[in-house]
Amino acid sequence: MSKRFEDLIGSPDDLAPEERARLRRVHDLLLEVGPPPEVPRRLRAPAVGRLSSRGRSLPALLAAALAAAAFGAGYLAGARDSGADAVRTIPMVGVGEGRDASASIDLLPEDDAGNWPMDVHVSGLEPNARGGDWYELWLTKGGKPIASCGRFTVDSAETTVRLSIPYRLRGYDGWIVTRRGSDEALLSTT
Amino acid sequence: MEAVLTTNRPVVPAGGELASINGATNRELTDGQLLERVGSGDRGAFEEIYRRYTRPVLGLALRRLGDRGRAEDALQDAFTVVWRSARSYDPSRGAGAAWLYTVARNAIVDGARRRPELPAELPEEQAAGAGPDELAESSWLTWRVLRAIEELPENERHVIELAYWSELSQSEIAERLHIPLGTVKTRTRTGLARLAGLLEEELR
Repeated sequence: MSKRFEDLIGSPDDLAPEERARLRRVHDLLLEVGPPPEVPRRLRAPAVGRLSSRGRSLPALLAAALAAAAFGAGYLAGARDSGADAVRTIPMVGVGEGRDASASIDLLPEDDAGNWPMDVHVSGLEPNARGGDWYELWLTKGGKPIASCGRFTVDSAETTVRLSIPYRLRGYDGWIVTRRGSDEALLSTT
Repeated sequence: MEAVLTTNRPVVPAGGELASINGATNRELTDGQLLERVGSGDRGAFEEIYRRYTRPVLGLALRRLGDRGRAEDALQDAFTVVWRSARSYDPSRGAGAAWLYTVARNAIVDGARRRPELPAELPEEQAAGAGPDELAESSWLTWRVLRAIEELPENERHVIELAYWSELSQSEIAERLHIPLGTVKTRTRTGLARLAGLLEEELR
């Protein structure tokens, strides 16, 4: 169906020629851009579960991550070839000397061998000197680093690194990032 | 990704929507002011940003990716990045809309690189002979227009969308909305005028 400008706005007597021309340009713009996309009902509100853990306990968050991962792995195996989508995003906040840093862990579906791959996105950590310095991600229990999830270096404002862990996550209650030679948390999920 | 969305949708803490600074509700704040709040962890502000930009981000993702499933994934990726990165928004370096556009575009492109099963631009866009500058300009224009539409009052937006993108005639729109034909035309006109104000730069 054609959309004629004159049909749409009628012929108001009080419309000055300049204003008519201005509305006409908007009319043309709308036709050029086309309709806004239809947003599925499930996406009409943000998936808050992908955001910060503020207000939720870490054990609850980890339990949710596990539940999501278990369900998500099945879903992804059935529906996607890539399997590269995170089943849970877990944010980390900077603490102590790392207070200006932030990070998030995209937990990927557990693989057939029982490993949990994850993409760790880090920003704001001080770049490491090359060779001999690194950061380390730990699973914690009672706030203490218990199981190393891997080491990484940072050489720019933002870094993403792929790590993989073989642990059963249920036994832990959080993650922290430390720097080589120190147990002090720079990033934490608590 | 569907699993995450459908199994983990905790209730957003109450109060965010109506939280105010100097008496302004989130709906009255500019994009930039909202982003500053998001940067300090305000979920109500984030919800408002999400409401304003869901369709612009999804529209941009559809243009770039040409696949609805991937575009919906990209939408979620983009807003996750917004939440994570809002602290880096600096109002002295530009308006909130431009920052959001950059963040969304980068998230979409990053997603396309991570999942490269389809080309990151629509084949027909490339075939049309448009250069990168023209594509970028066209994407920005679409972004601005879709964002402006979200600014319209509900009754004007509804009429504009039916008038321009449905198969309904004006009389049929009037019938569907149970309003006089004259009101349909008036709302169309006032909606266009409001859009003209919002899109002043694009109309120059």
